[in-house]
Amino acid sequence: MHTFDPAERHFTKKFMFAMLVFLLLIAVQTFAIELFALSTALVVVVTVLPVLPLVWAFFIYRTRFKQLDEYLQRLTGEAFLWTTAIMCFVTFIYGMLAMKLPLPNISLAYILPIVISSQGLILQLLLWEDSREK
Amino acid sequence: MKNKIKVLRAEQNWSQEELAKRLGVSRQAVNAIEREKHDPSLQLAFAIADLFAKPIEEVFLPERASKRS
Repeated sequence: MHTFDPAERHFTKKFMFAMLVFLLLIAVQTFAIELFALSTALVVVVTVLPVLPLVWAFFIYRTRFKQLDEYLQRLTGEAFLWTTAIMCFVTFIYGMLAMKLPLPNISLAYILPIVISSQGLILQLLLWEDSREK
Repeated sequence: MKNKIKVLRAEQNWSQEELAKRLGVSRQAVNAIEREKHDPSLQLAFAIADLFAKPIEEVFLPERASKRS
C-alpha cells in the first residue's frame, strides 16, 4: 500500500486547501453575479478571482516538483510532454475541423482541469509501464 | 546501463523501500534503476556505490563494458 511521506502529506494538504478555496470562490462568483447587480469592473474581478488559488496551487506543485527525486522529476516532465502534445494535437484538429464544419463551441475553461487530470493519469501510466515485468 | 544493485541489495537483505530510504529517493526510483529503466545521475550513482562500499565500476557497467564482457 502506498504510504505518504511527510513532504507528500504537507503538499497534499496545501494543494487540497488551495482547491477548496478555488471551489469557494467559484461559488462566490456564481452567487455574486446572480444575486447582485455588479458593475462591469466588479464582474471582471469576481469572475477572475478563482484564478488566484489556481496560481497558488501551481506554486505549491512547483515546490513539490523540486522535492521529487531525479527519476520522478523525469517521469513528471515526460508526462507533461505527452499532455502538451496530446492537448495541442486535439485542439488543433478540433480547430481545423471547426473551420470547415459546424461543430459545437467548447469553453476554454475546460482545458486546465483536462490538462491536470491527463498529466496525473499519464504519470501513473508511465510509472506502471516502468514497473512492469520484462 | 547494467548494474548489480539487485544482487547487492539482496546480500544486505534490504527491501527496495529500505534502500530508497537510505538513498533519500523514492521506491519507484530504486525499482527503475534496478530494472535498467533509468540511468541514475553521477551523484546518485556514487551515493549507491558508497552505500554498498564498492567502487562505482563494480556496481554499474556501462553498455560498452557490458558488451565486451
